[in-house]
Amino acid sequence: MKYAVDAALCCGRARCYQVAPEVYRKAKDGTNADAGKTIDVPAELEEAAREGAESCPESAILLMDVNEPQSV
Amino acid sequence: MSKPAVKMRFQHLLDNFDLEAQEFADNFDEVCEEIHQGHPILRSERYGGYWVVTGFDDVRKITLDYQTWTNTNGYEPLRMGDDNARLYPLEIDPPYQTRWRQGLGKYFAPNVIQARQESIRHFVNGLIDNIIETGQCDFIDAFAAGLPGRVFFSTMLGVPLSDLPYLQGAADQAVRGPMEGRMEGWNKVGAYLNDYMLERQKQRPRGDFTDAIIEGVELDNGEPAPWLHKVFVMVDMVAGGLATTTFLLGGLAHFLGTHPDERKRLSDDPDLRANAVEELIRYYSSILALGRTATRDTEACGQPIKEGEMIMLAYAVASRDPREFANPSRIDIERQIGTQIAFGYGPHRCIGNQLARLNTIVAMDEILRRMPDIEVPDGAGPKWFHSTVTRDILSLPVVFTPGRKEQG
Repeated sequence: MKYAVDAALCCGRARCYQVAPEVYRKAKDGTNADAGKTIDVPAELEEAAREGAESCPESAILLMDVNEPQSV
Repeated sequence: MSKPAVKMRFQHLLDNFDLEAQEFADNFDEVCEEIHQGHPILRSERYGGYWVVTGFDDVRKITLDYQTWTNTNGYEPLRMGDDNARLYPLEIDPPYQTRWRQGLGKYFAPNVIQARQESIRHFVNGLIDNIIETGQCDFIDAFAAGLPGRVFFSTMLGVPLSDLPYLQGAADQAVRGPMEGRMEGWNKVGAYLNDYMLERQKQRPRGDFTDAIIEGVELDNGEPAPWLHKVFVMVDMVAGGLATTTFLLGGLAHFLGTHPDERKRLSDDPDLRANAVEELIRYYSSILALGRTATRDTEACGQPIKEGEMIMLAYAVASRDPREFANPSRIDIERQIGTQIAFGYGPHRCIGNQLARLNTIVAMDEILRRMPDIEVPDGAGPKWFHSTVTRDILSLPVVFTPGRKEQG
């Protein structure tokens, strides 16, 4: 699994790294430190990553199954 | 809900729904209240038929399931999945859509937008200067339609100030001119932006939003995104940002001009303003609805949906869902909003949400400072209008005590 943090949506609501500190990192200004990036999630942290993403009121974290079909 | 199960006043609307019905636009509070008494999904027979999903939770759930509900068949019933006239990244799905959002999102991040505040204030006060001596105006023509384009074209795209009147005029024609001229307006906007990008491509990079679009992202096959996609990214930003912010700014003036007690509170206490703007974004939700198409036979709100059928996610109606927002027809400037569904949800959530917020906060600051007694005259109320996608205020007369110009 991968996750992508949308820098235009993340505004420092602080849920993701409180719910899943083992996955999400906090930047100095309170936003997600990986805003604008796409990050690989190890298998053992997928559940935590999911809970953190679902906790975001801005829906700023998109989870992507790396096996999903690619299409334009 | 506590109301008895009587026949609804707007039952005829609910029975054959039409997002564009003038009666819906004119009675938005009441129709939304009736929708949320047992109508999580509505059916329209216009344009070959479409569904409308109305509940806060249902809308959120569907936006996250982009594999079942695709954007590639267009954002409203009359659109087609035409590769040559697609709005990128609105009318594509992850993961290509995600790469565009990752490439462009940082130019819309909260701290980056916040740095535009004084530039926005300059444009706000310039527009107020145009009307301040007269003591009256149509707020939409004089202000709400003018601010979003000036801010976006100038501070985000870096378009020269000397080109602003032409581009603003073309955008006006596209977004709010007579229907028969709108396509020509869009063609002018697209042609200008195409030429502007070609010109910028020859110049030294400035590291701005325009350069990020020109640089582009990869398609799913690893090839660079074609030029046409980049032009339509520009057009998408204009299409998504201008009329929507115009509606919100019109809503701001409508609220201030019809709620003198709250206007006074906001004048006296600037700390209330940011939260008040959140509530105005909810109450005056600009996007009425945006579409998704089923990629397989599925269901929504218990209603079977066939592959290829379109559902419209009614963000503006979801913003009135009483299960999420108590007394949703009331504007409560201290309401605490968890998720602002007016901006949508999931991968396509509004990229410009911070810019819309800041435009509105600065406009509120300056209106309260320079037009503190702004009123909507009795009986002159707003003229509401719906497309399948947007809510609009076509005109909004306001009056205020005249003042002095501030800019040369």
